[in-house]
Amino acid sequence: MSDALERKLRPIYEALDSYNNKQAVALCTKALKKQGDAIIIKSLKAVALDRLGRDDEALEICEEIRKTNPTDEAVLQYIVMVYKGCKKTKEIIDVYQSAYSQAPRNEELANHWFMALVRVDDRKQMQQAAMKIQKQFKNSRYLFWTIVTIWLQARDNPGGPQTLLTTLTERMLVKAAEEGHIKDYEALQLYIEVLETQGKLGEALAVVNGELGNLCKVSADRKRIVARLAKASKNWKVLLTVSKELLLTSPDDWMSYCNYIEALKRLLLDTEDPSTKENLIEQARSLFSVLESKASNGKRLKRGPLLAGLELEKMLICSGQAVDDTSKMSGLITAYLAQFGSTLSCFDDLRPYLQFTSASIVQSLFEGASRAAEEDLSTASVRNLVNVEKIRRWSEKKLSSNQAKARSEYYMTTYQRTMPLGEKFDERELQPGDDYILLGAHSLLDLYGEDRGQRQLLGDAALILEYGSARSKFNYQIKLLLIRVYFELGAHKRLLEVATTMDIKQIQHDTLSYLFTDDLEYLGCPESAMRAVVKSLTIYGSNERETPEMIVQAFKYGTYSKIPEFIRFRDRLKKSLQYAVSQRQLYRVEILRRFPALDNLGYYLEILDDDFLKYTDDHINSLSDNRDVTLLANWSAIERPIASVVSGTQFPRKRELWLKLHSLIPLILRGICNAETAEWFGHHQELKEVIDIGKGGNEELDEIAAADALYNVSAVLLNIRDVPPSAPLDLSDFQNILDRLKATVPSHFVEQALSYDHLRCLTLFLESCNYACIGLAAITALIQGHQKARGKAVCTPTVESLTSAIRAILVTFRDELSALKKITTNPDVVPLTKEHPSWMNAQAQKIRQDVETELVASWTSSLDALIASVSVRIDRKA
Amino acid sequence: MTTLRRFVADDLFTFNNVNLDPLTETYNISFYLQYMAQWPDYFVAAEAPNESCMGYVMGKAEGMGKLWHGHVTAVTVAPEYRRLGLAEELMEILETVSEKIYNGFFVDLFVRVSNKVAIGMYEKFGYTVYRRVLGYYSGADSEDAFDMRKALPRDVRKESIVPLPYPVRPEDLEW
Ligand SMILES: CC(C)(COP(=O)(O)OP(=O)(O)OC[C@H]1O[C@@H](n2cnc3c(N)ncnc32)[C@H](O)[C@@H]1OP(=O)(O)O)[C@@H](O)C(=O)NCCC(=O)NCCS
Repeated sequence: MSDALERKLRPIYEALDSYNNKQAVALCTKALKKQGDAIIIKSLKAVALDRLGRDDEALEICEEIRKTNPTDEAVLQYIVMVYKGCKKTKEIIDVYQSAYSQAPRNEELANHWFMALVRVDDRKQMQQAAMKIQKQFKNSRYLFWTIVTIWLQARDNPGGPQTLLTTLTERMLVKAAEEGHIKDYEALQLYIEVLETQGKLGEALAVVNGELGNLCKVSADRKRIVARLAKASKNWKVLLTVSKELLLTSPDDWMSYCNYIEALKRLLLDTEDPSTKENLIEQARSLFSVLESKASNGKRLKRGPLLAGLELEKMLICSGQAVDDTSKMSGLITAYLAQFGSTLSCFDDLRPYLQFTSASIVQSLFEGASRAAEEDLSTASVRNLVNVEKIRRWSEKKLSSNQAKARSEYYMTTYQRTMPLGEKFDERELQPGDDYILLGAHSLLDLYGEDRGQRQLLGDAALILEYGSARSKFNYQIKLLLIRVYFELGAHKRLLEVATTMDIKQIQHDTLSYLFTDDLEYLGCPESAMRAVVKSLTIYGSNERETPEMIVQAFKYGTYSKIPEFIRFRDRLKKSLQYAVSQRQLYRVEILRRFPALDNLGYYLEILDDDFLKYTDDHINSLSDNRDVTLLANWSAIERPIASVVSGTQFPRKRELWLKLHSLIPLILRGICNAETAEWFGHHQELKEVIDIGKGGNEELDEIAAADALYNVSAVLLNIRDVPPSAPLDLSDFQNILDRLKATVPSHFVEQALSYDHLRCLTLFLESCNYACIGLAAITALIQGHQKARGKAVCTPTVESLTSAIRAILVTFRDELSALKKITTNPDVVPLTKEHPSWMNAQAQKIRQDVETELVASWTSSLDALIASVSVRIDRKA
Repeated sequence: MTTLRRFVADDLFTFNNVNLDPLTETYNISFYLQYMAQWPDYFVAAEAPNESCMGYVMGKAEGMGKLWHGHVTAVTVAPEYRRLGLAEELMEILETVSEKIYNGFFVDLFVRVSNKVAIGMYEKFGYTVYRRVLGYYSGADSEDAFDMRKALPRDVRKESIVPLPYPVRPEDLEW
């Protein structure tokens, strides 16, 4: 670069570095006047323009530069920067491809070209590029790029013509091995995986056991591969032997225990000979006892050997090799408790084996643990007691209402006894008695699950959880359950407050948001719902931006195993069910917020991305459910997650029908608002089908009723759209819609506090009204259009009378809401116990008061929001 | 009772019981994926029999010359699996990887000066405070960090761990 040019560039770089983009543009323009052809300056100008949001101008310059076929890396870097910002992936590929074809010895450009293809995941092109680059530079790294890109195509569609590609991959790997190109663990893994996929397990085993196996730097890694292959090929003897070897070096390795026991089971089933059987079992028992003593000689006790003992007995019983012997299992369970009773995971460790124990054993365990805690109240004795409490709860039949309440009270008084133990703990640690809080709440919630009329059980559960949370500020189990309970109470404010303290971020938006955003749009809090949903959606943008770069990184570092892994990860996020749900929730809230202005709504609907509104079965079935549903603790024998107990239905609920409905609703509204008939009729018919399916399957009947209102509105509009301008319009069907609405104004909530169910019913009614309002607005617009065209048409009934009918409905609805608001602020209806259980001390009293205040405040704000929504529709000018 | 294996991208969907802990940061996607792509052996997950995530360790190798070392980026264990020796096992793996695969001189890590539990634990594992880093943790819970180190066999004379007598600022860190 000449000195003169460099002198000119320096101030431009400085301006760009300090984000003084306007100045940078001015400097570039000035410099270009003198030196019109300096493409480096042009490219910098494009960057500055792009940063100023002047995308079109920036892109124009880039196009101009591209015509000169640049190969200067700085220039390429700048225009690619602009293209990236404008999401012009195809252009990026073209830029690098043409640069590389002009400078085929430039390895850096070759890499850029390939990586640009990786970013858009064009596998065929990737393969061709990799082959070309490999030919040019003859580096085994590029050979593996070629192999991986072929492999990716083969994996894409197993079974089809792709098997040819698999064979090709294998052949290339065999050749690579022969020529000594397999030089690291990643390449070895790839080789084995390809063989495994084709069922060539013997070949794979030979590779691992051969020379190449030495590429596993940690010997256990090699043995684990052998175990995996032996298992896949049902070679039980080998599996038994390697598992044993692995266990002897690491006596806590659970996977090896499972493999060992599985192999043992198969070998037992394969033989009829009693003495062989006995021998095998004897070997297993003695191995486990060796491992146990080995493990206890170590620095600390390991859980593996004891649990493996339980797993072994369970297998023997379940496969008919031993009789169901409660005393043996109970003995093992008791021994395990004695060793590990004070660890938090103890109950979960034992859960798979509890079915083999008896009520009397449980009772005696409980008495023993209680006595121990009585004699010496310590963190250890409390944790032990909690574990036994959980076992007791697990093995108990259903409790009566009084028993359950008494049990909850007992849990709470015991909790209070444990409180001093944790006084000095770091506040970020769990308190020793925390699980008593959960047990106490679970007891009440189980009862509520039986009798959903007893709503004060919900309030009381919230109180218990708030009480525990005040002490154990970071216990997420308590918080998550609290969120679900508040949700059921219809109290969005405190629910979102608690959710905020959990600091959910990044990937957790996808996996955890549903716990507090699912169905939030029914709670009468459009602004908060929108904010929460928008925030959770940020992760999908991050995925689009970040994950492709990381796939590039995996190629760069030759971590071949991670390439399909990252691709799968990217796709799971891209096709996330939660994404689809959140996106539709957002549309839903926006539709309600935007309406009184028809054109505003119409514009919004017009620009919605149709990709997000797909509703075919194929599309919906292909969505990936990434929600973490195993998180909430569950200690009951019935496989019914506590969150489902609280909501009374499966939680998170099924979404197939809902997703279809909420694709079709915006699509149909788009048709109505923008008189866009091309696809409208098709959607209209689809909606009818979905409604019928819902009615037939008794699914989401309240949602279906609202969708039905829209369907009817849509039908009227489709009918009249082709009526010639001066012909009379029959709007009696619209009158029917209004009559139905009038008959269903929600009004049956006398003397009751609000709840999720109530708010949902109110919101859905508001939505139905909204559809009618939108329909009427569209009719009005149509008639106005007609009037311009030719004279006045006669409508029966008249638009004026329909308008006043709809207003009357809205006014009645608003009156109901106002009446409800009065009831809600009455502390007598707040679902919290009026009695004072023995554990209710002054602090608990205060928290009770807070819960009450919170509930009332939240409900009031929900009703205010609904009232405001109704009011803007009443006040809307026709 | 634990299955130790490489951490995989899909684990990010299920590591919530570990990451909801207030002392465990949840980073952006590229942070985790970068570690997996670049140092796949250094990112190890512990899995329970019911397949839930018990904890993980993530680390990397960095530095130059005699400062070539393994670094502990995060070690964390879900509350329900604590005090079972899991952190110890995970740290041992990280040390093995640093020694056998990367041939480093020492292992180092940063820890909040208020995180008494972790500091005590690292001391038990043979780490000592090398220096204090002022304001290493920024944001709402801003705080100083201890840079703790443990020498590996390659550092025969244990030169890497001789404590610095004065604190440093984050911008003074070598990497
Ligand atoms: C710190 C942490 C990783 C420990 O995990 P762990 O699996 O429970 O640790 P181990 O069982 O291997 O414990 C090893 C030793 O550390 C010490 N230790 C661990 N937790 C302790 C605690 N709560 N109190 C006192 N000492 C503790 C003990 O000396 C223990 O040995 P011992 O059980 O024989 O007495 C875990 O508490 C955690 O994930 N904390 C949150 C995240 C964090 O702080 N990470 C470190 C940030 S750099």
